[in-house]
Amino acid sequence: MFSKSLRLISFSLVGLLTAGIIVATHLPANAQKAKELTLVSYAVTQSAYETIIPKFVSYWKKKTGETVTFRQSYGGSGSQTRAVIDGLEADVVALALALDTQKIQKAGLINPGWEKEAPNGSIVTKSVMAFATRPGGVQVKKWPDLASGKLKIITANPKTSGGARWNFLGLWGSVSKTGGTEAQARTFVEKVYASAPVLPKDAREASDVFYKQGQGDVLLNYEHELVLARKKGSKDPYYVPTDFNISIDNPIAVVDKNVDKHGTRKVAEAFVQFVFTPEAQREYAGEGFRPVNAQVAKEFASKYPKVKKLITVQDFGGWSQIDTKFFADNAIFGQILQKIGRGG
Amino acid sequence: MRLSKFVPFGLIFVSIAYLFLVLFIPAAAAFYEALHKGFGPFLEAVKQPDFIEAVKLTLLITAIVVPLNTIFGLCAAWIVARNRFPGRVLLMSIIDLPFSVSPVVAGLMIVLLYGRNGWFGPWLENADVRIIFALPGMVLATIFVTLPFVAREVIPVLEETGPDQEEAARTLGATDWQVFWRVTLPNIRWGLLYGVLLTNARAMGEFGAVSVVSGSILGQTATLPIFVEQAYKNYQTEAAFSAAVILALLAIVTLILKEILERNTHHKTIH
Repeated sequence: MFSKSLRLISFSLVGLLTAGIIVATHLPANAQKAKELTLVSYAVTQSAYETIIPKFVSYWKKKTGETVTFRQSYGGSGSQTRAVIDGLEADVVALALALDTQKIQKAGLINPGWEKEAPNGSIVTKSVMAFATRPGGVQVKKWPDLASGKLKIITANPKTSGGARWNFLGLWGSVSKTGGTEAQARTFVEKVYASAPVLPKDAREASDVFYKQGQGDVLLNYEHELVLARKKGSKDPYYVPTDFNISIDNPIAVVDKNVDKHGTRKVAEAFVQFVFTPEAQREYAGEGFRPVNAQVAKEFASKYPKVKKLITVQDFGGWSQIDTKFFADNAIFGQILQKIGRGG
Repeated sequence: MRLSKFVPFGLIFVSIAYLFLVLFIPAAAAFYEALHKGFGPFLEAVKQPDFIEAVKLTLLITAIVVPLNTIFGLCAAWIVARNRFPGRVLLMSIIDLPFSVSPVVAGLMIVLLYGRNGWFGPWLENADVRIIFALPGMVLATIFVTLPFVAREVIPVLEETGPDQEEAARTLGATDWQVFWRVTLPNIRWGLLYGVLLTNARAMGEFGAVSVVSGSILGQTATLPIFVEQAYKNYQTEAAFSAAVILALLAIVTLILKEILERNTHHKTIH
């Protein structure tokens, strides 16, 4: 009755178990020994950093002789922020909006005043909102067109996606900052979200729903997302509203507590400075981000149409006011979801 | 009378159509997407360092989780099936808990416990031990979601065979260890094997719970399913589908192993 193969299974099981335990007890020890930077960024920046990082690595090697390796993590800005606060040991965070960086600051991981540690108020790239539509379908070129009620609109969920918060502010501002009242702005935004069949969890997923799954008539997203989709072969037309738009500012910061723990402050700070150099800025610009370096901006001026009335976060009173007013629990966005029947 | 003749054919047709729709066509599509540009792009994709790391990590997690849960499952099954004690029903429902808890919630529970602001967070930070966004957290998450499979498969078999043979062996002077190896294990081997296979499949394929605690660091804490998602989102469609195909092949390898084991053991028991 005693079967040989059963004995074999049990032996291999015991072997695997011991191997597993040995590996498990050894793994945490050898992490973080080499000069290693962890970059945590939002969903859509990977293609830019894939070219910028090797440039920095060779720059740093030339300058100091040190070899630095990068660990990279990409996901929705809100979820990435949450992960860093929960213990994802990022040395540098490049998030979609300063509100998320401020949340990490509030958690005690980034020292106050990070905005002044890098050039341009630590804003490393800019973008604006754009509409993508279907070839031969309804064309949307003006903000009010979005509220026609006949379109299916794809936009990400502001609860988890940084890009979607920018979308929300752009929509709201297109009414309230162009002569409309707050009440009118609210009605407009409600109509837009009522036309959204789904709320994907980040900007890239929104592109995916629109381009690959073929849902919706209009996609609201970052300009650079639509530029990238074009590069990847999409034929769908897109349009950047230039009469009015929102200045999407993406901050970068060193996570003080983690770099001090890892002993990587010097190289982390050097990386944050490096992304503002014309060399790095050209890479961002090539991937669809609006560069913040004046010289590079001039080189790419034809690629990025100039917006007549560009509003900023400051026009809304800064992120903490925006958060309390729009995105906190039971604030305006939650109320809108409730009203259009999506829960809060 | 006539009609009843067609009923079996109808049922067969429905089942096959159903299988095609939900199983064969999607699987074929994944293989097609990975390979339709030839083997070149496929090989290119599977040679990426991030991809190789993802395969290694997935296999490592599986190699840790499957033996642990097999041993735990066997113990739990034996306790529940061979003993009557107060709280037995409660224990059985606790074993089933991972089936009713959403994997994402399971991941969040681990974050709540071991995260920087979690219950054990400050203590872990002092000891400089990293649980979440590192291998241990991912192993914990995988253990949690695959916990019930072995126990669930083995309990009914143990209950059905009853304790008689084991008691007989014991009266003949067999030690506990001998009873287990020579009586219990041969009786439960099919249930056990099936449980191990289910554990294995789920451990390799788990996405929800693991993605919450992984931090998705490419080449480090990205398992195969996470790699698939990231590659797909980055317009690396071929890489994503190639990884999906590799995942499927790993599953097929386990099925073949099971088949071989089945045949061998049949062979042995017949002669």
